[in-house]
Amino acid sequence: MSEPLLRVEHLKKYFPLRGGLKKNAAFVRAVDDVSFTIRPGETLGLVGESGSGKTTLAQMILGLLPPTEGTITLDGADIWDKAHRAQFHKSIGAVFQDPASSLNPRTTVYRSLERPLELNGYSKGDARDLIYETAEKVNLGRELLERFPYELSGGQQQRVSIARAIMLRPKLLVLDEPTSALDVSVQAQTLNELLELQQKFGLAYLFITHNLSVVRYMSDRICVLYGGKIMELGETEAVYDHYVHPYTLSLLSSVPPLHPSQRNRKKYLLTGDMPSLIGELKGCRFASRCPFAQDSCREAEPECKDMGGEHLAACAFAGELDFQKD
Amino acid sequence: MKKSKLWQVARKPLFFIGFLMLAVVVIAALFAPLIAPHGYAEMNLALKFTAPCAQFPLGTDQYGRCVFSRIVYGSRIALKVGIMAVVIETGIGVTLGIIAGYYGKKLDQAIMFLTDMIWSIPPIILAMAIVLLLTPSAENVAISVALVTWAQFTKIVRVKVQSIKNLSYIQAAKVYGESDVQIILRYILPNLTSTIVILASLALPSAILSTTSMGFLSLGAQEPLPDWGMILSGGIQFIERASWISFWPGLAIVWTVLGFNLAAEGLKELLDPRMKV
Amino acid sequence: MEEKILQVKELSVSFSGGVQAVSKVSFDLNRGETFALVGESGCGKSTTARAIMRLIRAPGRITGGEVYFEGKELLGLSEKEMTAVRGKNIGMIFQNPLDSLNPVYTSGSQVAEGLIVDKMEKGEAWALVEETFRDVKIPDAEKRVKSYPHEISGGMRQRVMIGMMLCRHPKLLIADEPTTALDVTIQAGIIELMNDLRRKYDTAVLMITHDFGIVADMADRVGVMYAGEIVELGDVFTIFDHPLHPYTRLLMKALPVITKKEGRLETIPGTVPDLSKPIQGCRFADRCPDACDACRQYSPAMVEAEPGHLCACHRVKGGEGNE
Repeated sequence: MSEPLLRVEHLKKYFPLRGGLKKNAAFVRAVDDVSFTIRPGETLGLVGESGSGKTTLAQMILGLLPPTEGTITLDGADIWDKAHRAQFHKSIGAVFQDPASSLNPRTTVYRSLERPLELNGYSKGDARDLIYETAEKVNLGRELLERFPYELSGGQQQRVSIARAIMLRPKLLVLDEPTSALDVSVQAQTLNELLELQQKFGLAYLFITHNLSVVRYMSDRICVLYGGKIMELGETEAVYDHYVHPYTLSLLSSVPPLHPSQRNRKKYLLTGDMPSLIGELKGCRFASRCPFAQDSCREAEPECKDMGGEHLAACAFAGELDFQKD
Repeated sequence: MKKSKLWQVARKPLFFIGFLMLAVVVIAALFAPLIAPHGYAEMNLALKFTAPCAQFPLGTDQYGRCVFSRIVYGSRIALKVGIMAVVIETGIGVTLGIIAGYYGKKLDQAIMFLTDMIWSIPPIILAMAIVLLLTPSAENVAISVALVTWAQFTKIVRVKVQSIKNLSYIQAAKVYGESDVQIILRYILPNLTSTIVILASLALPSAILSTTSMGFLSLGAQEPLPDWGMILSGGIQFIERASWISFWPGLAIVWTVLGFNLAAEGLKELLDPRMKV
Repeated sequence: MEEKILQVKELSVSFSGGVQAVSKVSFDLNRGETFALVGESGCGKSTTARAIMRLIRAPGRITGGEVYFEGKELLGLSEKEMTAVRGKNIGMIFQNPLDSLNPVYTSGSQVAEGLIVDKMEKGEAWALVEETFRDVKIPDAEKRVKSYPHEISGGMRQRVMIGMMLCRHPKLLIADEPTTALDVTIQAGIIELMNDLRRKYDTAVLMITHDFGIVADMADRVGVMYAGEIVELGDVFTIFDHPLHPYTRLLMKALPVITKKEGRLETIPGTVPDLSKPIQGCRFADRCPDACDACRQYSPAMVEAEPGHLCACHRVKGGEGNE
């Protein structure tokens, strides 16, 4: 096992709700004690529904939001360590969901790509060479570089964002729903290109999405998030085929089928809404909607159990439940 | 596309009238020495209270000064003070708005507290107090009006910045190492220009109204400078004998404020028709 | 035996600049059947749905075709007559349930309003509203009827919308991407609910979606749209098992149903043609791996490749399979 590239330890983000200055203010526990690692060149898929804390987590890893507690280290250095800040900016890249707002509408594509290089000490000439080289790598025609973002299609805009993110040769790319706004055919192209780039440059990806098929295609390992906590984490095959957490079960059985013949499959539909993450929380976050919940689940928070092969599950009854897999 | 939009707005009669009214005031201010038949301080006590005639188109005041000439020269003071006030209030308001919106947290709370405080005091009374503290003059009127009106800019700019700063390209810029100051200057300010232009143009007529009101209370430019508000108030005591002394500067104020208002509406329509102020 | 409840014949819609958003779209819906119109953004599926409801706003306009609902032509009706058809006979739900509900009234009163329009007594209407809320499986129905739209979650709002439409027992429900804005677990619940209710009330559903998974889960028959036209139409099993049109086939292979170790996804080169310019030949020809000269010359007609399975492709001959 190689040394992890990114190490997230006991990360918490509590947003103050009211009376932000007071001592006893209420908090939204958006991310609550999350730990995981990403190895060089690997893709960790982060799945969760809205309110699971996945975007907050991404913002913290990108250094856009300071954590309430916990540490994030990239390549051995704390990302908030001022001495390594310049290196941090070069080691990480980001691609966001909305291709249209990912690019400055007031400048040409070329200028959008040139600015990060300028900031990191490239000369005009070097920048030009690198921009042309990178544009080629992401299949972006040179003639598109002098255009403005609104003159490009969504897929092309997203390619520019990817080019910008990989230009400084980062080690980790945070992809926050990069294809959710794209059509299926464009999505396929973008995903393939991302895989190609990963192979070529040995990039590690943190791939955040709510789309379970996309995450399965892209990831080496998958982390399932619910209510700001990790429910299950493990190799893609382990999580997809040998899941042990009831939330993963509900999530996977909610995915629409691939063929009409699977219409009448057994579904574990969730009822009710996600619980509020405000104030003191007791027990398992998923207990209120879990079809297998026992009284004890509502009392004590489950520990993260290792099911073998670094397959973790935060369920008191992990491995003991009968999911009637078919 | 842009051109046809300009044409569309310009063709709306009210905006067109507004721009025309404005043009009259601006021309008067620029070419005052050519337009005014007399100097603004030229006294001729023998001809005091002369009714409008060929020599004095709008009559003379209690010192025999040409009312028309004083109004023409007065447009310079009205515009100068109004514009100065708006420039200062825009500067203060936008800066604080950006700081509050961008940095958030305690800075935001402090700035919002300040704006709420400013808003809870009747502006004209606060402005008067500030002028009296600074000694009455045209410049001090501009400063005092600016100090009581910047808060409207802060509130609107703050909300705008809060939404702009979460745009993906600004987040991406932070990731590749753009500093906060760079983010504000390079990405946030350009997004605010149309908002600022609209807000400033809408603030101008009310600034002119406030500054001339202060002039009316003799807190602005001092005699013999021809402040419209002061001319108007000076003529009040002679209203039955020589109504023209007060009537014409009053009309000049109404004309200017109305002209600016109509023109500002037109500008807003042109730059950002959906903006709510 | 099967009664056609909706017949759309050669419906065309254009927008400003001569954009042919929908051109000559034809399909039928049988009583109680779910028909899915599936396609990527800009293919005209939502515009088709809105055109049926006559909800196309200027500068868009319906430029041709006929729409029969229970044998009655809709496009020729006066606005007043059409208003009577909307809601009472044809219900519609949209992608964003927050925009579809009025924030200043309770959700219950908005559901009741439709019933009162149908001349139902107030007390009776409210009783039915509560029953409807239970029908769409909203927990604490008695309380929830008094909630305002912002007080309930997105999934609940969509349930309210479905309830609002179904309590007037329309014969047809048009659902325009009703679950796109929702999380998968919520989506699964809504799909299940819609499947249950349409069986219970025998309502026909016209489902507009970009998601083949939803098609697989709900539809009886499918129409695949591309660049304003239906390119393939048939039974859901037929479309999934042996799609004929190259676009349908490529689109299905572009779905990420595999892992990266198993291979790469199929992609469709090129982009959707500019619909503001006249297009010669097949609209998919530029992106089609099987395109021949004829494809670039003549627009293919819809042919019945096998009973009930229609396809508009020169490579597909009537009465037989592909190639």
